[in-house]
Amino acid sequence: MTDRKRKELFISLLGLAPVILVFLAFRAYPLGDVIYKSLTNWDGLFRQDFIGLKNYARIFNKSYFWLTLGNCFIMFINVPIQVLVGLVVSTLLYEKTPGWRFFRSLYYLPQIVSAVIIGYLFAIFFSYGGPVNAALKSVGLQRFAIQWLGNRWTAIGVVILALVWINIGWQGVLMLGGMSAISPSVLEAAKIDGANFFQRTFYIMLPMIGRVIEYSFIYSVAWTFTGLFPFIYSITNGGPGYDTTTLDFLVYEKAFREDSALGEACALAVILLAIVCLLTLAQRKISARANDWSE
Amino acid sequence: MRRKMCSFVLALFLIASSFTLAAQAGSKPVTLTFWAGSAFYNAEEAKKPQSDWAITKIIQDFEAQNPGVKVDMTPIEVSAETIAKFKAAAIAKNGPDVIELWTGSYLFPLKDILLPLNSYMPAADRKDIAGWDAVTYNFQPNGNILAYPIGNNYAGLVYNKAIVKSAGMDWDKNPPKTTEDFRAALKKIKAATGVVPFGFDASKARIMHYATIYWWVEESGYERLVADSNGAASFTDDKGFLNFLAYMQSLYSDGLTNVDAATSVDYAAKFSNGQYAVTVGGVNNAKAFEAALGADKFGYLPFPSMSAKPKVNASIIGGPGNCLAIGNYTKNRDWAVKFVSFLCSKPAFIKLTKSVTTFPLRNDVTLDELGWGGDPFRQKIFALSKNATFWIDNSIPDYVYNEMTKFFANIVSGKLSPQDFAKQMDQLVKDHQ
Amino acid sequence: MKGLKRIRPSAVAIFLVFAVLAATFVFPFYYMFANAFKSTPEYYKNDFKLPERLDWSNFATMISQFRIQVNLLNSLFISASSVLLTALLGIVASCVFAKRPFRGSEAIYLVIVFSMFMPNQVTIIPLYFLYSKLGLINTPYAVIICYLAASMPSTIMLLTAYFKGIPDEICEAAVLDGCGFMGIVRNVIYPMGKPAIAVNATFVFLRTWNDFLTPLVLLTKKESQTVVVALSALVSRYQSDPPYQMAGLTIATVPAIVMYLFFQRYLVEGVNAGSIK
Repeated sequence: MTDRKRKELFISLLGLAPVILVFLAFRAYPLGDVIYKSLTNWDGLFRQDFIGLKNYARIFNKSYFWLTLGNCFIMFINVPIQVLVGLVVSTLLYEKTPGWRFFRSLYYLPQIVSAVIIGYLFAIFFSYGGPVNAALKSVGLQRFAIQWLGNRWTAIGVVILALVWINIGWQGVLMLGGMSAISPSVLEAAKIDGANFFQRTFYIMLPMIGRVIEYSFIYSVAWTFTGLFPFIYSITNGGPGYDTTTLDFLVYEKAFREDSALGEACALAVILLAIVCLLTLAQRKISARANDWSE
Repeated sequence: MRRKMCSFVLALFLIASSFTLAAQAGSKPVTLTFWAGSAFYNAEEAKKPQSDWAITKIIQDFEAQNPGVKVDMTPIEVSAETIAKFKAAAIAKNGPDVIELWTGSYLFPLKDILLPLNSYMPAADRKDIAGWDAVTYNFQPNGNILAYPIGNNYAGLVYNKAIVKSAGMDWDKNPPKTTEDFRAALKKIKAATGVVPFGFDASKARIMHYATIYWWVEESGYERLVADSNGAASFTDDKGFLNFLAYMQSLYSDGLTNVDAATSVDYAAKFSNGQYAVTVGGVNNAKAFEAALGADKFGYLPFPSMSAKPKVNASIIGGPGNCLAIGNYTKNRDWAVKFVSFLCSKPAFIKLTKSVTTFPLRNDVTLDELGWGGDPFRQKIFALSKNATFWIDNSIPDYVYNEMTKFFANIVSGKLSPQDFAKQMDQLVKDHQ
Repeated sequence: MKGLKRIRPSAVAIFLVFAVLAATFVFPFYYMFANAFKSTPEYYKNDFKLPERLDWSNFATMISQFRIQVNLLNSLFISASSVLLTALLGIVASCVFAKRPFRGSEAIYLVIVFSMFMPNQVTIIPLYFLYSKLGLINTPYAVIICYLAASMPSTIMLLTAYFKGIPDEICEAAVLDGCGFMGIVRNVIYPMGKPAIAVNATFVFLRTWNDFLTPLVLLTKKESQTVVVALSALVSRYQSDPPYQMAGLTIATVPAIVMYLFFQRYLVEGVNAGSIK
C-alpha cells in the first residue's frame, strides 16, 4: 500500500467514523438488546428468564402470524404501483405539463397531514354510506357499492390505494430530485427525434434514474414491512379480525397492548428484520443484474 | 442559492435552540413528580392555561399547607404507550412519584413497580372513598392496594326521545325490561319511523363493547369471566358469552342495526343528527349528544335484562376506571402518599369532580355539594350509577379483551359464529399459558 | 387558429387527472381547517360542511392557553437539528461509500442500511435505558440522536445512490486541481448533489416532524414535548374535543408545509446550474 493510498484510507475511515459511532451506540446496541430479549420471556419489567427459541416457536405456531405475513406480501403490490405512478407523474412534471407548478406544490400534502386524519377520511369515504358508494350508485354500479372495509380483499385494496395515494408526492419528490441531474437537452433531443411520452419515460428517464428507482424500491419495500402501522391503525385497525393486520402492526400490539408479551414482540421484530434484509439483498442482486444489462 | 438554503436552516436552528436553552430551570427542595391524565383535566380545561386548571389550584393548596414541598405536574394521555414508558422509567428509577393509570387488569401487571398502600394510607380514606376493589390486587378482598380509585365514568344505552315517542313509546315511564322487549321496541321504531333503530359501530368504537358486553357478565358473573380468561373454565360452554354474542348478531340479522354495523365509524355524528334511535354513550360523549339533540330529547336507557337468573343486575356499566398510583422507587414515599390522599380528600374531590365532570366516588359527597342538584342529566346518570357494574375490560386480561374487540365486528355481522369464536378464544387462552 | 398554440387533447386529459388528484390532496387539509372553526356539536352535525361562521377562538386558545408555539419551537429545534446533522454526517459518509470505496466498505454500508429495518416500537425501550444512563432523558438531544441514528441508513442509501451517478471524471479533475477529500465534498459533491440533499432533508424533516413514539417516550414535560406529542394529551379514552384538536393539527402542519415549499425549489430548478458546470 502506498503512502498516498494509506492516507486516503485513513481519511475515508475518518469520514465514516461519526456515522459508525452513532450506529454502534444507537442502532447496534438496541438491536443486540432486542435480539437477546427475543430469547426471554421479558414482560417489560423485571421478568427476563432465558427461554431459548420458545418465542419463535410460539409465533410460528400461530395461524394469525402466517395470515399477517401473507398480508404483508399482498400489500407489496403497492410498491410497483407507487413507483410506476411516481415515475409517470414526475416525468409529466419534469416536462412542465400545464399546471405542473401548482400540482407540485400540492402533491406532497398527504405526507404532511397527520396519518390519523388521513386514515379517518379513508374510512369515511369508503364507508357503506360514503361518497365512493354514492358515486358508484349514481353511475348505475349499485352492485359494487359494498362494505369496502368489511372483508379482507376489498379492505386490503383500500389500504393499498391509500398507500399509493399518500406516496405519490414522496415518489415525485424523490424522482424529480433524480431527474434534475439529467440535462434537459437530452430530452429535447429525444423529443425532436419524435420519441413519444412513454418512450421518453421508459427509455430515457427510467435508465437515467435507475439508482434512484432502486432506492425507491428498497425503501418502499422496507416501509411496507415496517412503516404501515399508523395507516393500518387509523384505516382498518387491522380488522376485520386479523385480515388487514401487518407484521409491524402485530409488533406494536404485542409490545404495547399485551402486558407480558414484550419478549414475543422482540422475536417478531427480529423475524421482520430478517425478512426485510433478505428481500433487500435479493433486490440488490436483481438491480445489479439490471444495471449490467443496461451497460 | 446555497447560502440561502444554509442560512434558512441555521436560522431555524438558532431561534429554536436559544429558546430551548432559556427554558431550563433551577432546582427545588422536595419535588413530587406527577403524571396526570384525563381524571384531572377534561377537554374544556385543556383549553385553559395549566395555571387555571382546577388541579393546579388544588396542588397550590397542597403546597401552601406543606411548605418545602413542590408538585411538578405533567399532563399525559393514559395509553398503552404511556404505560410502556412508565415501565421503562420505573426500571431506570426516574419515573414519576405519582401517576394516573387504569384500574383492574391494566393495573395489576404493574404491581412490581407500585407501592402497596395498605399500611401507609389513612384509615378514613378506605371508609369514605368507594371503589377500592378495582385497585386491589387481583380483586382479592385482602390483597395489596395498588392505587387510589379516581375518575368515575359510565357507559350505557342512550336514545333519542323524540324518535321513541313518535313510535308511540315512552321509555322514561316504561322502558323495555328484557332484551326481547328491547328487540320488539326496536322493531316498532323501525316500522313506525323508518329510522335505524340501533346505531352500532362494531369495528372501531370500543365503547360499543365496553357497554354491551354487560350482557355477558349479567348471565355469567365476574368469576366466570376471569375463569374463562385464565383457562379454569372454557368460553365454549359459557352460556352468557354465547348468548350475548348471539343476541348482538340477531339484532343485526333482524335488520335492527345499521346495515354497515361491522364497518361504520360515524355513530356519534349519526346519532347527533337524529339518524339513529338508540346507540351507546359514555358520560362525556353523552354531553355532546345532549347538546346536539337538546336536553329534552336525550335519554339514558337502563340495560334491559337478558338473563332469567342474572348474577349481576345493573342499569349501566362503569365506575372508577382510572386510579392514582405511587412508584415504589419514590424517594418521597410519605409525601407522595400524603399528596394522593390530599387529592382524594373531600374539598379537593369536590373541586376536581366539578371541573372534570365525572361522578363522585366519595361516599360523603352529594350532587348538591357539587352544584348539580338541578341538572336532570347528571341526576339521571347519578341515579343510574348507584346501580352500576364494573368495567369488563378492566376485569379480564388485556389480550383476551383485545381478541374480542378484534373479532366483534365479524361476529355481529354473522361472519363468525359465537361457537366458533368461543373455540378460538379457548385456544388463545391455552396458547398463552 | 394561426398564431395560437394548439392545445392537445392529451394535455387536457392530463390536466384533468392532475386537477382531480390535487383536489384529493387538498381535501384532508380542508377537512382539518374547516372543522377547526366549529364547536363540538356543530362538528358532530356535519363534519364535511364549511363552518357556519369563522370562529377563530380554537386557534386563539391553542396559542394563548395551550401555548402550542412552545411545542412548535421544540419540534422545529428537533427536526432542524436532525436534518442538519443527518446531512452533515450523511454527505461525508456517502461520499466515502460512493467515491472512495475500500475493502470492507460495502459490508459496512450494508450493515448500516439493514439497521433501518428495525421497528422502533421495540428499540425505543433499550434506548430509554441507554439515554437514562447518559442523563439525556427529557432533553431534546436524546430525540435528536435517536433521529440521527434512525435517518442515517436511508440517508446514506439515497445519497450514495445519487453520488454514484456523479461522473468520476469531475472528481478526478478536482483532485488534479489540488482538492483533498473535503475539497471534493465541498466543491463537487455538495453542489452537484444538492437535489438529493434537498430531497433527503425534506424526508427527514417530515418523518421527524410527524413522529410520535420516540418523543413520547423520551420527553416528559409539556414544555419540552414536540407538538405531535403535546396534542395527543388532548385525546383520552372518554373524551375529546375534535375541533380543538383540528386547530392544533392545522397549526402543526404549517411549518411542515413552509419547509416543503422552501425545499422544493431545489428539486428541479436549483440543480441545472450544477449539472451544466
